[in-house]
Amino acid sequence: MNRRRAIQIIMDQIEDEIVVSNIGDPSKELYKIKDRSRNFYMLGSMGLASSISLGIALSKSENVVCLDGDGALLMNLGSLATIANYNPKNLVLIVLDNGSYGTTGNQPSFTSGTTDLGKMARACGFEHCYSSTDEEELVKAVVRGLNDNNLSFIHVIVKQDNIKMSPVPIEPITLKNRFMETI
Amino acid sequence: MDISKYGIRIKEKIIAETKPRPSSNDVDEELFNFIKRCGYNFGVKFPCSILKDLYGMLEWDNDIKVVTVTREEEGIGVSAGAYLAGKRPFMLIQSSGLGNSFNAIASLLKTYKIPILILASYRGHYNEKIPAQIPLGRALPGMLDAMEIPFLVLEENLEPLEAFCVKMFRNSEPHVVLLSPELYENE
Repeated sequence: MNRRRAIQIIMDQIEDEIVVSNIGDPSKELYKIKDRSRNFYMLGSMGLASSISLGIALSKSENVVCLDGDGALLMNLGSLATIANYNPKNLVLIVLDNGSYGTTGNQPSFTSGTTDLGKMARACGFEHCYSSTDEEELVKAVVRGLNDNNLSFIHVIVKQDNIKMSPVPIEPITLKNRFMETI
Repeated sequence: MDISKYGIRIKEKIIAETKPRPSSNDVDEELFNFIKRCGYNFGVKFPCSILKDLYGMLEWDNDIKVVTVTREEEGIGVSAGAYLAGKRPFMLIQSSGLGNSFNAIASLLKTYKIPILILASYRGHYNEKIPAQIPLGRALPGMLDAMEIPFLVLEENLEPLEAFCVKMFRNSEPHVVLLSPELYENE
């Protein structure tokens, strides 16, 4: 399963949830797979997808789904501690882990070495953690994450498979305004 | 503590609250009143010895959600999320934390035009005892200028704060307030 397929599977389960996606190819893929005004595409500030999601989840009652990456989460590991301690029940943090910096040319990240982000989430205090390496496990994890009313962490192992994609063709201010008007 | 400074609603809260409100100085009281008056309802903070009493007051207030972060840059993300979700967020940090946050201020707050008020205790500026605070403290006004982030240095009183805040909402951009230690000297 590559990341595009994983995002497709996740979005197939999404109804009116708020979705925040990480900078780079994940946002471009999400845009292509299912653009909607309830998606917030990060265009910069690498690492902050989970933090933005936390800010939204603490301010709204509906479910917030964060599509993060291994490289981005490694840049903001403290966020795992903050999120677990505030424990918003309406947040599903999904890490699409391809063990590499795909957008910049597949340089390996430390999750392809000795680092396990699922264990890290548990150690930070996440109690509802799922991991998936295939499509069936991913569907199960996403369904539980969306319906269980618990803060959850879904660690999705995906293949390194980045293809060249064009940027999200919407102005940042337009993205913000349509997002804020819908949620 | 002089509760006559507070509006009726706040007075009632003081009476209703069983947990003692932390003691504070006049600057903390004024900042707290400013935050309430401007309708801020989501505070993101990183521990600071100068601001600690104000933190206590904010946590005591049920109308303001307060989130402590592990690093200031993370706080920029949390504040931005709260803003997108309709809250009116502010940050309370040490000025050194701005150095940790510049890319996020530029590529998140400025790119999407998200107005976050960042109140920072100004280190390395006046009577600084910690040498490590001085290089960034000295460079900070030039850095903020270069990044076109509007900022205000408060040394004597908090009077200019409200007009500055109005300007921030009009511009829909992040604004920085540097709170000099001099403010706390005349107590």
